[in-house]
Amino acid sequence: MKLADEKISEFLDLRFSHFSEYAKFILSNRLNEFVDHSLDASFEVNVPILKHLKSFSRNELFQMGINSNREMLSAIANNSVDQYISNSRNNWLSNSLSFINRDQVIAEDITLISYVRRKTFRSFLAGYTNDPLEYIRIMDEVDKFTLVADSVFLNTLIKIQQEQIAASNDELEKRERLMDISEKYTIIKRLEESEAQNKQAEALTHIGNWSWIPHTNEIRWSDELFRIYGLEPQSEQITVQTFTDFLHEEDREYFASEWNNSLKSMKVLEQNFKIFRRDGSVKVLRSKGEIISNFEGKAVKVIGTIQDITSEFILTERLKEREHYLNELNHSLAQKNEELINKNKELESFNFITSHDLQEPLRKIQIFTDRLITENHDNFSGATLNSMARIRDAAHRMQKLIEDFLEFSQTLSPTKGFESVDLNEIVGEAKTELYARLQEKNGIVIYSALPRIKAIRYQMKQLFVNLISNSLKYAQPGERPVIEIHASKHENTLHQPVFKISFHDNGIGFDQKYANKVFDLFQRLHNKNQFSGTGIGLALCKKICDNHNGTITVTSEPMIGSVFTIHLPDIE
Amino acid sequence: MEYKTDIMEKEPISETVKKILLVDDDLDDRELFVEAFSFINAKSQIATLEGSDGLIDYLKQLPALPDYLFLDLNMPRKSGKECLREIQEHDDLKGIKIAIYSTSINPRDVAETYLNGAFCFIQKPNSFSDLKILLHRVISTETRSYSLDEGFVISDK
Repeated sequence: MKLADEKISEFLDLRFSHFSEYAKFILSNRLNEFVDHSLDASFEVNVPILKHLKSFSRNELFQMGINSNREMLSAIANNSVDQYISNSRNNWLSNSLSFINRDQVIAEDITLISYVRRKTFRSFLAGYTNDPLEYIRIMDEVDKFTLVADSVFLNTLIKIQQEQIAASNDELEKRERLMDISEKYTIIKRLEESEAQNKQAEALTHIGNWSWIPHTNEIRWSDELFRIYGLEPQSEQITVQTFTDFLHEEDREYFASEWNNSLKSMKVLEQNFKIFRRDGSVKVLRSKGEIISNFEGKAVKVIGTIQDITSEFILTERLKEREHYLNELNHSLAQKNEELINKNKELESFNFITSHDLQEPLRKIQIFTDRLITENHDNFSGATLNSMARIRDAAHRMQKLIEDFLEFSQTLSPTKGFESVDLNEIVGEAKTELYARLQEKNGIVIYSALPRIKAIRYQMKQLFVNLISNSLKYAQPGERPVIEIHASKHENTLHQPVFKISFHDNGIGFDQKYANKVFDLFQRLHNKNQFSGTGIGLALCKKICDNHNGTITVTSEPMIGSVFTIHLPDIE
Repeated sequence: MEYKTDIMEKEPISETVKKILLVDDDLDDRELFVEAFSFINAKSQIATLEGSDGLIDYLKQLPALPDYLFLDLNMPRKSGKECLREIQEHDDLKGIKIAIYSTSINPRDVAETYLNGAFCFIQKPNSFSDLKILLHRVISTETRSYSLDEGFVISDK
């Protein structure tokens, strides 16, 4: 049988990013409170394992909690959760848990401790973040963690219990083969005696025993089996009818026929079924029976175990639901993606058509006013010529706006086409494109050896052209514009390599308080008549940096100049 | 803004007879085009078509092929790009220099028309004097630019 936990780790990635940061935070700031809170919550829901820890004082429990929680939180923080869970399981299987015996753990311990963990993690989140998105991300990862841990531990519990059952069955089979009938009866007697000793173990594992002697029709249930059925131990006489009474009506016939079949074929009876207890609650049980026959092959006794697997069953159901939910989520995500791609395509063609058709009339306004001005220059008064020139210039401005806007919206399209780009070449191309403007302003671009980076080539060119052109536009009157470009390689706070590229100019600069505004779309710090421009250039630069998972910032001082700084991750 | 001096009226321009055909659905642009040529080269033979339907047949029945064919990109039914592709499929029409004549420059259109053998890509200018300068430049060029980046796109910007 494949363990359910293997299945889970297949579809749940146990490497955390948000949860691990949160775990670090708790480790270094709130560990004591975290442990206190966990203990309070454990007592509140009365985790059964606490019974076995009665001899410890609260202070001792606290110290134990510090150690175990530190181990768990470090595993989460270091992203070694897989290792942590499998270590815990191995310690438990090999009975090397501190303070607790391997057979003392029951299903409720696992589910309740998991509840306490989630609750405690949730309680400390408010002190960690105000961002609801971050909150959801962390709790999502907490859920993953507890889901996998629960499933692994519940499976371990089942494994331990199966080993116990197998051990007693093995003994019986082995001896059956070697010994004669009379000895068999002795073994049955001994087994009956050991049943009494097993009572306590039964209670812990939620496994009850029953026996049935066909010729007397005498049925015996162990105390735990009574408890599983929600009855006081040995409070009533059990008959075959008792078994069927607890079943769902629809299951009764099937159960009876299975029972008869296995008696006839002398095969092991094994099945899962639901019972409806008298208080109305429903339990899922796993039953295993064995037929002991005499030398004539006649059944002399049937013995069996019944295990309460309700919580395991619920968990499996929940896992199935979860898996189903994840599948659905994936499916709808794929659908959304497709929709988005279509929307983008639509938008692209919409953009192009509108801007193309909008430019047409603007060009006409310009060309006809221009003709009026140049060809009838002598017939019009100065005022008329001036008005017409203004019409033409306004149309020109609007056309420029549409062109820039088109360029900006094209930059929004999903990023593809990353290639290795030599930034020295890009500066060269940008200088060629801005040749006339550089000449006109007598500007120079100085740059040290720039790196080769993975980027979208034409967007890098747009970025450099826009930044250099911005510096040229805001040059100080009467001063030669000098633009210096430097690059260096650093590590960011996450120890990932990043390129830092800075553009220094000696332009008119601006008050640092506008530093964030300059990158907004249609934001202009100056009057239209002072400097031409559409307010799209720097917004475009920001968009390009975003597309490359980078950032752009600016520091500036009026009449000294500005420094634009770009950080781009080194993804090579 | 300064008024541009109209150099075209002052300088004598190429006197060779050139046969020129413009296909453009826009009446304004057809009129401006013809007028601009009347300033550039009085001896040019200018013809215009207001749509691309039947262009191939029209060309084939002409006694002599035009030297230059100006093709608007954005036309109803059949776009300039489609006309360009079609003309290239006819060996007897390959001698025509095809100039794309468009309001907007879409890099994709530029690349596609270059690959399909267009002679140049003209962006319709915003002033009449620029129009004269650009058209003059086109008909004074005999050889196609050898690279997409240099000289293929002709624009007033």
